[in-house]
Amino acid sequence: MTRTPPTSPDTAEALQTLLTPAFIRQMEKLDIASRKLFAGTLQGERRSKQRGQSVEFADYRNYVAGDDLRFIDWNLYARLDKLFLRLFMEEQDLALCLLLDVSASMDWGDPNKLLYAKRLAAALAYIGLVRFNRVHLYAVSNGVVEQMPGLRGRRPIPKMLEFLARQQPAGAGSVPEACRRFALGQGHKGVVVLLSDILEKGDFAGGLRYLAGDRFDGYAVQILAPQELDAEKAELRGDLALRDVEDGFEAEVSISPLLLQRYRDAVNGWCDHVRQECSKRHIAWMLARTDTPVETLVLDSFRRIGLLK
Amino acid sequence: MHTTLAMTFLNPTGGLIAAAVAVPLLVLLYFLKLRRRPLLISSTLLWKRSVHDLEVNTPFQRLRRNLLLFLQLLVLAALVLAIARPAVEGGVTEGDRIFILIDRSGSMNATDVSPSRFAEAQRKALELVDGYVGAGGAMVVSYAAQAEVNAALTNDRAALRNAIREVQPTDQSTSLSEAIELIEPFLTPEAGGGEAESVVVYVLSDGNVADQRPMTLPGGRIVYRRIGHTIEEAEPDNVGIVAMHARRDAEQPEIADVFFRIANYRREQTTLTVDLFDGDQRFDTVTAELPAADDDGPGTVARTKRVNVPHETILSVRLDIEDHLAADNAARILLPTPEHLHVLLVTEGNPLLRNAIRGADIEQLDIVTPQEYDELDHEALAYSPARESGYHTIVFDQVSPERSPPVDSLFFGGKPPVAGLEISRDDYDPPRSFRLLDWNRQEPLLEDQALDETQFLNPGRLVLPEGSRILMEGPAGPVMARVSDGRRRHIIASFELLRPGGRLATTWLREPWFPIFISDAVRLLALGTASGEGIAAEPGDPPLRVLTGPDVDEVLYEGPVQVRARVQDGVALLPAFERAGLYRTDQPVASQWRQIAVNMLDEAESNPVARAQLPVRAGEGAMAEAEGETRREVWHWFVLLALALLMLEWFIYARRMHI
Repeated sequence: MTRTPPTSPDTAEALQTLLTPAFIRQMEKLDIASRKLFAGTLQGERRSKQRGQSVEFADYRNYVAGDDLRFIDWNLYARLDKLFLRLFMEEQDLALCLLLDVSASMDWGDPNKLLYAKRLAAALAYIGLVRFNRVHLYAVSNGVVEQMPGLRGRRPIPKMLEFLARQQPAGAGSVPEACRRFALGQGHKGVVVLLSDILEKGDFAGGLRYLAGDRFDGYAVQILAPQELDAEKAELRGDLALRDVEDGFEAEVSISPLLLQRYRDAVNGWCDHVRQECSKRHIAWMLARTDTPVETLVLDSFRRIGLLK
Repeated sequence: MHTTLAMTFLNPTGGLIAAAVAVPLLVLLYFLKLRRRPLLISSTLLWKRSVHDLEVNTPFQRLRRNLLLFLQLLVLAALVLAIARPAVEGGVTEGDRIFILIDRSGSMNATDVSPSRFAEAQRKALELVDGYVGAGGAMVVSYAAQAEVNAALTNDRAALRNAIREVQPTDQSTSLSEAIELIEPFLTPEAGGGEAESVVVYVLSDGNVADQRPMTLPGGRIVYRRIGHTIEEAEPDNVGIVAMHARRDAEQPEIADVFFRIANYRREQTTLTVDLFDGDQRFDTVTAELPAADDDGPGTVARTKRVNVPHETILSVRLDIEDHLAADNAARILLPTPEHLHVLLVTEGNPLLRNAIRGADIEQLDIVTPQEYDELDHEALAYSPARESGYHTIVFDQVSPERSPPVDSLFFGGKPPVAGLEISRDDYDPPRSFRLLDWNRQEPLLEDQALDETQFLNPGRLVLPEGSRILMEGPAGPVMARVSDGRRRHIIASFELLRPGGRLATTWLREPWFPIFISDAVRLLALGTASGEGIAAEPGDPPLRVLTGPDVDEVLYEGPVQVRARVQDGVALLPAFERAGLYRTDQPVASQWRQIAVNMLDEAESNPVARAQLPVRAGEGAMAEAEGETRREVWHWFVLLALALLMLEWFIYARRMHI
C-alpha cells in the first residue's frame, strides 16, 4: 500500500510549518495516554500489564524452581523462612497509530483541513517518538495510501515530518474502507488516532468497529473548516451548483437564509451522529475547527479527552 | 385639483393568453436553464441533506426569494400588460391646435356636480391641457356675457394651467358666440390653423346658451364636453327668482310696488316661503306654491307687494330654500327717494319742450339762452351733492356748445364737441318730411314709443364716432344716438324740434309719447334710471358710470367680491359686475350709487338642466358633438418598464457572477 513519495520542492518549508520550535518545547512534557494497557514488544517508558523489570513493585509470589534468584526477597525469607519472589511492573513501549485522512475533501477550507491534520499528526507523532513509543503513520484515503510503521525514538522525527509533509490529496476517500485496511494490516495493539473530516456519504458507522474492540484504544478527531461548520462564513450567495471535490456530484442550491439555517442544522446533526456512533464503540470523539490553533488542541483538548497526559 | 387615471385594457384577452403561455414557460425555463455558479466544496453530503429537508418542506424552494426570477416575472408581467394594450381614459387631448372654451356663466355655479359645475369645468380643462400633445398651441377662453382670452395660443402648459386656474365664475348670462368670434381668426388655415381635422374647439359648458346664432367654424370642430346632469340623468333641483321690479307710485311716491316672479325647475310641485325685506327689516312673508316644471318650461308664480317706503332703501326678496343654485335665491333692488331734479334748458324759446320737461316731476328748471349759457361758470354747472346746487342734466335745443357740458345732456338739432360726431343736414327746400325707418325698441327710453307715423322735416343724419349707440334711424342714417365723449354720455338728435318761426319740425312734439320720452330721458340722464323705478343691475351689464365727490381717486365697493374703479373727472367707470349681490361703498358718491343691487334674473341661467347637445346651429364643417372620454394607449410605458427591469436584472446578474 505504499506509494512513491512525491518529491516536493517545498518539503523543507513544509516541515517548518508542521512543528514550530516553540510548540516543540511545549510538548516535551506530554506523553501519549491510553485508557487501556497494551503489551509492547520492547521495553519502553510505559507500565505494561506484564510484570517485568522495573523499579515499581507489583506483587509477591511463591518461589518455584527456575525463577531468577535475583528477585527473591531475602528480607522476607529471613523473617518468614519462606522464599518469595518479588514481582515488578514491567515498563513497555506503546503503539501509536496515526491515521491521516488524505482524501481530496481534506484539501479544503481556510485554514486548510489537510494541513491542519498534518500538524496534529506531527505533534502527536513527535510526542510519541520522544517518549519511546512505537509510532505508526498511515496516510489513508480509500484504503491505506502510504504508511510508515515502527518509528521509535527521536532519530526518525525528521523522517516522520517528511512523510507527513509529502502527503498530497489523494482522490475520493472512504473512512470505513481505510479503517478496514488499516485494521487488517496492523497486528499491534495500541492507541489509534483517526484524523479525518469524516464526511462520509456511505455507511460510516460500519468502519468504526475496526477501531473498536480490545486491540485498539480509538480516538476520532473530526477536522472541519469553519466554512463547513457555518456556511455563512463561506459567503455563499445566489444560485449555486455545489460540486463535490471527491465524487464530482453536484448539489444545486439557491442560497436563502432558510437554507443556511437548514445547513447549520445538518452540520450539527451530522457531528452529533458521528459522536454518538463513536461513543457506542468507546471511541473518543472530538471536533477540531481548523481556525482553532493546533497548540490549543494539543496542549488542552487532547489532554481533556485523555489522549495525552 | 386632482387628476384620476382610470386604466382600461383594449385587448385583455390577448394579454391573458400571453400570460397563460409565458408565465409557466418562464418558470419552466427557469428550472431547466437556471444558470448556477459552480463552486467546489469538500462534500455535498450536508448540502444534499439541507436541500432535501427544504424540498420536503417547500417544493418550490428554488423559486423562493429569488430576485432574478422575480424580476423576470415582473418583466414578463409588464410585457403581457403591454400586449393587453392598456389605455388611460381621458389621457390624450385630440387636436393639433385646441381651443378650450370655459363657460363661467351663472348656471355653471350649480352644485349638482361636486363641488360645482364651474370647478368641474376647470378640472376638465386642466385635464385637456395635461393630455394635450399637439404642436399647434392651445388657447384658453372663458365666456359668460362677454368672452375673454385667458391664455393666447401657446404651448406653455404652465401658462395654460395658470390661466385656467385664474378663471373665476360669474353670475352672468351665456354668450357662446362671443367666444367663438374671439377664436375665429385663429381657426382659418391662413392663420396657421393647419389641417381642418386637427383644430378642435372644446366647449366646457352645461349647454345653457342664451344666444343661438349660427356659428361657422372654418377648419375647426366643436367638441362639447358637457358639465352637469341632463334631465334624464338627475332630477333638476332649482327654484329661483327670475324677475323683480320695484316702482314708486306716481301719485303716492312713498308707496312702492314690488313685483317678483319665481320659477320652479323641479319636476314636482314646491311650496316655499318668500321673505321680503326693507333693508334688513322683514316686512312681509309670502307662501308660494309653485307648480312643477314640465317640458314647456318651469312652473312660475308672480306676486306684487305694496310697501310703504318713503326713504331710499334696498328692497329684497329671499327664498327660503336649499337647492343647487344659490345665486337666484335672493334678489334685491335699490329704491331711491323721489329725487329733486335740477334741469337746465338752453334754448332760444321752445314752450313745448319746456312744458314737457316740467311735466317730468322735477324740482327746478332753469332756462337760459345760448348766449347766457356761454357766460355761466362751466365748472359749477354739474350738480354737487355737497352744495346741493348745479344741474343734474342739461337739455340743449338747437344749440351746439363750444365746450362739452359737464353733465350728461340731451341735444336736439345740436351736438357737443365730440371727435367724429357730425350732423349732416338735409338741404331740401322746401323741406321734405321723412318717417323713421327703425328705432331701438330694446332701449328703455324708446320702449313706450310708437313712432311709425311720426314725421320729421329734414331730419339730416348723424355721423357717429365709434362706440355710439343708435336709438333712431332715418332713411339717410341715424338720427338719434347715445354718444360718449369719454366722460359723459349724451343723447343727440340730429333733427330739430321747431323750425324758424316757431313751426313744428316734427309731429313728435304733438304726440303723447314726446313728454314721456323727455321725462324718461331727463331721469335717465340725471339718475341712470328711466322712471321712478328701483335700480338694479345685472351681472355683465355695460360698465356703470358713478359720479363721485371731489378728492376721490378710487372707489371701492364691498360685496360678494370687491369692485374697484379709478376716478377720472369725478366719474368712476365700474366694470361689469360678475357676481350677483349687494355692493356698498362708504365713499362720497352720488346717493343712488352708494348701494348697487346686482341680480341674476335670468331664466336661462337659473335652468339647472344641462343640455345633452350644445344648442348651436353649427355652420359648415363645424359639428358640435358631445364626446365621451378619449383614451390614450400607454403600452409603451410598460415596454419601457420591462426594459428598465431587464437592465436591473442584468446588473444584478453581472454582480453575482463576479463574486
